[in-house]
Amino acid sequence: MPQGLERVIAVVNGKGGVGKTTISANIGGMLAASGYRVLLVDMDPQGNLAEELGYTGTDINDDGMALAQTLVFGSPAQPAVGIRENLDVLVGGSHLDMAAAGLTMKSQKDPMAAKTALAKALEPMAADYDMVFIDCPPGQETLQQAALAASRWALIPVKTDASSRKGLRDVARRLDAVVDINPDLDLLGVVLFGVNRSAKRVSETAREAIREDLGADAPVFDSMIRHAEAAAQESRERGLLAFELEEAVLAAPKWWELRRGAGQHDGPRSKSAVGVAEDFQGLGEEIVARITASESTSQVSAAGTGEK
Amino acid sequence: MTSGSTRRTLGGLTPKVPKQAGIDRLIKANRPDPSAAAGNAVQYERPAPSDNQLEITRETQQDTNSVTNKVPKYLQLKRREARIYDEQADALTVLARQINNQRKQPDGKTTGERITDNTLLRVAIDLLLERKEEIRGTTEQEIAANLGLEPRYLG
Repeated sequence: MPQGLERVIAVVNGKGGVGKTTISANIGGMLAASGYRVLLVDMDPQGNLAEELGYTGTDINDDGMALAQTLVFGSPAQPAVGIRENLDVLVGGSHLDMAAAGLTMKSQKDPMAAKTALAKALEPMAADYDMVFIDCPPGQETLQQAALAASRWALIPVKTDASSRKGLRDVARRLDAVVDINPDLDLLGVVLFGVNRSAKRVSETAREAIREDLGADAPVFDSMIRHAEAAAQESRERGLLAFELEEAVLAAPKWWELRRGAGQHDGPRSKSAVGVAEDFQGLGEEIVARITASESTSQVSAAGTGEK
Repeated sequence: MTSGSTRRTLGGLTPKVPKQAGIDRLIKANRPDPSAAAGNAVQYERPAPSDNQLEITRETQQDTNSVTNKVPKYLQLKRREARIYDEQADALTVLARQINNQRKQPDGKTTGERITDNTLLRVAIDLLLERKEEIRGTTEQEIAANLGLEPRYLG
């Protein structure tokens, strides 16, 4: 694993709509708000990270043009700086479709160069960040491979339905293609996304099914991200992350204040934002704890074997 | 639909989503060690366990989830690949799962260490080597028959 890429996390699943972008944005944004320096890499040609973070339609959004050039021609990566405090983004979008085509052509001549395109781009800059999250596309094999080749960890969101579990198989296949050049890639964990909190048996069955596939010691996160349609819609409409929406909801005037004419309110109203923000906070804490535990174990092992 | 027919029982039907074989390679610890040299000769003499190995065994007996600074067990073992029959692979996985289920205690905790297909294969090799005097034959089927096993044939 190249120096500096030890904290790169690919948020990946072969299936769409399982929460990859929402998790990348919210965990990245929350860690940035906590003081971590975070880089988000949007490798998805759909570019939905822009909606999550609210920079759609701004000058920042080049629809993935710069990132595509970096991947295909090797030009230095130029993150959009300061999307939030401590949060930079390599912006994705439809130009990544062309990048995928370019990388596929490149891979016919030099497979290694295509797979390591993102790793090479991140290498000079990754050490400037405490965490790097890559929002992977659901399809686009070449882009997924490039993301996994650049990552130390894979974070896999799944829904409780069986079809999103099938996405695990696709990730395993992508892993096979890059494990020779990135043997350090490991599963950080599987997180259940879009869970109905009242259907406990459904989420437990899904957990069991994941353990059945991955083994009894499978790293399944205790934290789950609940399904809250109103909060999700309001988040995207306003370009606010869950914890930002939570803050806005809690700061809004109370109904009795509005009733007596003590204030006006056209801000967010989704009370469920509070629960969603708590879920993301729990997941963020688990992610940090797992990486910290892994790093301290590696340090002790390296010290024991005299490695430096 | 005919009325009065006996309703078919649901027990024993194959689940709609069977176990997805090979997905566990997403976890680094389940993948073969790339640094292990392939093609080495089989070690017939069982190596004496090192102090380190003994410590790991004791540790895992107490708490399977503890974070240890020791070299993982799988990294201390030699990697060997073998081609086996489909039924053998399936039966081995089922057996490993059964043994793992037995590790669960009534209070919900799990004792011992994770038993994998490889764990059972190591024990099976030792079992075979214990009886090496009885191994006779010029084909796999002959060797199996001489050990009192039903010979297997492909196809």
